[in-house]
Amino acid sequence: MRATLLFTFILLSASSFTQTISGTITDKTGNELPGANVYVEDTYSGASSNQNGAFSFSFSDTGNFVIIVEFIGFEDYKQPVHLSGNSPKLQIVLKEKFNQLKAVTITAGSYGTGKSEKAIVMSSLEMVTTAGSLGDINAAMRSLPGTSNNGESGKLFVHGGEGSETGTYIDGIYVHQPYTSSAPNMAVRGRFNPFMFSGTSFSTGGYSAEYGQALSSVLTLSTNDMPIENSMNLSLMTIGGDLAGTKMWKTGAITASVNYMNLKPYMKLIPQNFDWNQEPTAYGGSASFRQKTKASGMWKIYGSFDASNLSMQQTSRDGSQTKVGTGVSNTNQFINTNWRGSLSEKWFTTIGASYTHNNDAYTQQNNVLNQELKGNHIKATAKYELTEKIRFRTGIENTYTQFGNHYSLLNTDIDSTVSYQENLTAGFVEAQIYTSSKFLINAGLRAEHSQYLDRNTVSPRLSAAYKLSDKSSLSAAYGWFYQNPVNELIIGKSYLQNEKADHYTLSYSRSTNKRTLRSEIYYKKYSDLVKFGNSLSDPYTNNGNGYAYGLDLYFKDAKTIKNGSYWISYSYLKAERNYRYYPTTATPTFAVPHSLTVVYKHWIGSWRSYVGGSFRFGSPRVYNDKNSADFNAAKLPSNTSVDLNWSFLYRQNIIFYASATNVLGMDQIFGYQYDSTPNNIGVYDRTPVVPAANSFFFVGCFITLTKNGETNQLDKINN
Amino acid sequence: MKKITTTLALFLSMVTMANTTAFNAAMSSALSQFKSAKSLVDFQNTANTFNRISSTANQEWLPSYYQAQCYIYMSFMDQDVINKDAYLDLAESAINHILELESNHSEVYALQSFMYTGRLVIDPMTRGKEYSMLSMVSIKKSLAINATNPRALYLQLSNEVGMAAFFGTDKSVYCDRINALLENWDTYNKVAEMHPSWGKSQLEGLTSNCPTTTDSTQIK
Repeated sequence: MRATLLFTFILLSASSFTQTISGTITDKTGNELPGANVYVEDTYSGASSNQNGAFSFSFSDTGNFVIIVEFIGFEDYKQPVHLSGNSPKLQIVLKEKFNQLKAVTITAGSYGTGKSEKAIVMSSLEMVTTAGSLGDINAAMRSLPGTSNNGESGKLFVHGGEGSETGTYIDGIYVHQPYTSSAPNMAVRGRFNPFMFSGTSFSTGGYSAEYGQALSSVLTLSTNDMPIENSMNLSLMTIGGDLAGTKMWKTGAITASVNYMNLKPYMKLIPQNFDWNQEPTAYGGSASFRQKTKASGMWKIYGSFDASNLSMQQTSRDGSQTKVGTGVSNTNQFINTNWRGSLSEKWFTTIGASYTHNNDAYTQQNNVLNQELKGNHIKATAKYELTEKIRFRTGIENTYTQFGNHYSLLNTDIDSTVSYQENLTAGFVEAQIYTSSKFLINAGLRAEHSQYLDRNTVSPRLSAAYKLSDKSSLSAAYGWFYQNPVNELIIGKSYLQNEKADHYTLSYSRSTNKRTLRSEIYYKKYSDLVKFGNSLSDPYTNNGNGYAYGLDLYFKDAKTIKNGSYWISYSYLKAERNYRYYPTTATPTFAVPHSLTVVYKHWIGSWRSYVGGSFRFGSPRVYNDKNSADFNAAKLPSNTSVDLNWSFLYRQNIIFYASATNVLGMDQIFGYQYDSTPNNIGVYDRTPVVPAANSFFFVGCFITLTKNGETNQLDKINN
Repeated sequence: MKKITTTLALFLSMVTMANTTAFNAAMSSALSQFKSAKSLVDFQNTANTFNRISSTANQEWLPSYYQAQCYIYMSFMDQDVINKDAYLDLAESAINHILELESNHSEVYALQSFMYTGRLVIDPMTRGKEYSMLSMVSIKKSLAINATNPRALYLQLSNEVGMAAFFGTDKSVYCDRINALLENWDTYNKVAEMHPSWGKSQLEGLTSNCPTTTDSTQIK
């Protein structure tokens, strides 16, 4: 026994003859690969390939071994060899690894932001430092092409679509009420702080089968994962303040905040176009919870409560020219929760739900209209990666909406309520296939069933991209999109059907280091739009139709000017519709034929300041002059605004921020409101629809307290 | 039977010894390759060498540490943005490998901070906020384990000087701390053979922002 052991030992230690393992490493096309790592498994013996892809190293053992070759960008290579002092020469061919980061992406209709998206167009920091955006995601998105500025609305109007045609999703879950509430013809804002999100993807059309109930566009927001540190944030602004705290533990974190806003002091100081009874006030609170779970999962809950109130004197449109009190008060509760994780290496799952309860009370003199919206959304998706190049996604969801109009006239018996409930069930499948890193095709199918309308729809979606060179690509998107008519139209009319839009988009994109050029042409066909006559007895039908086509151009350059970056967006839009109360086919009032936005930002180190400016121009929109026989034929003046902002880093954790919109004080007219009856000389009197004030000035101070005081709140500049 | 056991134990310990010797030999040869590395190719080859060692001796933290360090240097040297991040991805996975072996490691957290700084400098305008925080948090973790880790202290100063350069504030306010660390470097930097000991020359580089260092030498 001992002899055997001894013999083995001697054999092990005495195998000291040497052989040379050598060879060359190339890729499929025969290019020599320098810097590849070649070694014998479970030993320290190996070498790197040289300039010519050649390698050589000595090895002092015999038997069966495995040669391993590793190289960045290529798949690992393994080859069993029998070594008997034979000094083998190996010809090794490595297979290129498919790298999605270097592969083509579909850019048609797609603007992504944040880390996860390849085509970074705007980060959340960029959103809040875009002059004129005032911390509103939607306003920041309006500096991108394909959108237009509709100052009377504040919503996202995309490619000739109305604001209600854009759907908002947080972590894939539908948001029933993404906007704040406001009086008619007064702009709303997005409800969410841009810095809740690490990624924002904004689609101008042809989007994935995952999303439905949006004729024009979807805004998909991805919330932040774990915070980095415990912190307290305090914001003091000319219009209010907020306080937020974040506490984290090893696998989770919780953030809570409260806010209060009151525009009264500001509006007393700055001349206003409106005669306020109650300047806008709002308060609210929110809490978010994040917890890492099994299956490399992450569970998130976000909940918020908000209340707001405003009231003003408006000219009555009944011809009497009297001033009447008009107000709106809103309460909103919102919860969004979701879990995502990977059940195995190839399966990725998300499950989520949201609940919204929104109440808007509009008052005008003795009239009270209470609109109550309750909604929820439940959704589960699964992604399966067959190979790196082929992925499948599928999902099911149910969206519940309950909407009611409760009208009453004070001091009378008049009191009526109408409401409707909708359960929308949907499912989708989608396949994403790369035939190579140069060509990608994405095909999907979405099916929806509306319980209220008792209708089924099936929408195909197709998009593809081809890489023309390392820097440029061409892509196209096509699809059918269905959406229920808006709450106000559909209520009590379950005989109506979904409205429909077909999208055709072609896009060219060119990106070099820090410069991006995007140009896009599109055609959109609307059908089955709701149509009705002027008289209440006229029936509601789905006989409306319309179209939109146009061109978008986008150029961003963060290279030419040191410490500065700018982008230019231009959109041309031609749109016509015959829908709603339109007597004929006409350009809709919301369509802006030419939109131009130029945004510039500059870092001035010696001032510790980030300064920015933007120029926004919208060519004249049409409006309907009630005193003219031609429908929607009169033109508003064009709309121009120059906005400025300035962030000053007083300390690393204290920032001062100042912002001014429309510094030149250009007149802003968004339309006209006409009397319902003509005056004594037979003319309909009118008043222009204008903003609360032509310009808005904002000053704030943002303080962040952490243990080491190094963080700042540049990402909290919002109001 | 006892004899056999003894022989077996003896044999096994000799094998282990042989392994340790082989590891030490491989490491010291790799470290001399590391010291002489200048170009991107040199560092790639050195990273390969450390990778070969770590794939065999996968319970040892040193080869992964130096492998990560090579990739961080490469990220600073390569001009291609996609490559820069790809190198840092490799550095990050090597660092995570060590943290899985042993989560309480002052040197590794210091290197992690360096890796985050590498991410930051690729695009300071958009990444500055997130990665400066991550870098600082890693330094805090490193110093919580060893308050006089000279590399963590150097990286902290380097971050602060970088931040001052970004904000356009006075960089010379850090000079006293830089000089103090330089003076204490050899005391703080008593490390075992083959363990990380870099940083002094980089720290000396930071003194270029300081008026002169003659004051401190005069005091001596």
